[in-house]
Amino acid sequence: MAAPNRILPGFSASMWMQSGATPTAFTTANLAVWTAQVATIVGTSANGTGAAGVPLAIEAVPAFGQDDAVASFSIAGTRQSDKIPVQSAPTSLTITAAWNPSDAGLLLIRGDAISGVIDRTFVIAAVDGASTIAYAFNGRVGQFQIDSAPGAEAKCTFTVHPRGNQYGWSNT
Amino acid sequence: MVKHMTIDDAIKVIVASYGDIEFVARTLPVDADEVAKATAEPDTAEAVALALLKKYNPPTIKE
Repeated sequence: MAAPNRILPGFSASMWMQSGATPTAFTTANLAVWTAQVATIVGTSANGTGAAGVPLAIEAVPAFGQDDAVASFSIAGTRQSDKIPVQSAPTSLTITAAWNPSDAGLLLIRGDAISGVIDRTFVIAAVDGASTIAYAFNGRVGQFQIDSAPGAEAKCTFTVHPRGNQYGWSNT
Repeated sequence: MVKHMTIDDAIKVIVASYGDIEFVARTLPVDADEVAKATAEPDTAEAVALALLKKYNPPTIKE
């Protein structure tokens, strides 16, 4: 998997996703292709074209990457044990957004959570001027909660579970 | 003698995969010399696939 060949001195991050109700997620190789692929999901504000994508108006882009999984071994009486890295899953992204029942992106997320079997391509775009670095991955939504407590604005919380190995980096 | 698949076919397999394309590229039987000569348009899925084939099939040195 090629790493991005751009360095951004500073950036603003945004999150995008395919706009279809039953989308065809990108194949793994296409997740690393900006032109005519990832660019179609990312909107013009992040230097994409956005013909097949919608923004997700979220509070903050969460950490993404790989979980830590180890097998621990120890022998009674010895000072130190041993931790061996084992197969670990991609990090799940738990995201909070202001709940707007007419927001197209959030409605798609809610539909995905109800279904549980819809694979969708998501993109996290980091933008600095004319340069964009995009991290694209396929994932399913596993949780969707609406918190309409009267003391604050209504918010929703959902979790995206990336599919294993299905990610790619691209850039403008 | 391993029967090699063509570079085009190998690229098609990788481009169509939803799995771990590093693993797929590592297991496809292709000729390293053919891989070295192959080219692909930059910023395409084919270029991603070819880069992986080149990673796992370095050109052989003939004496």
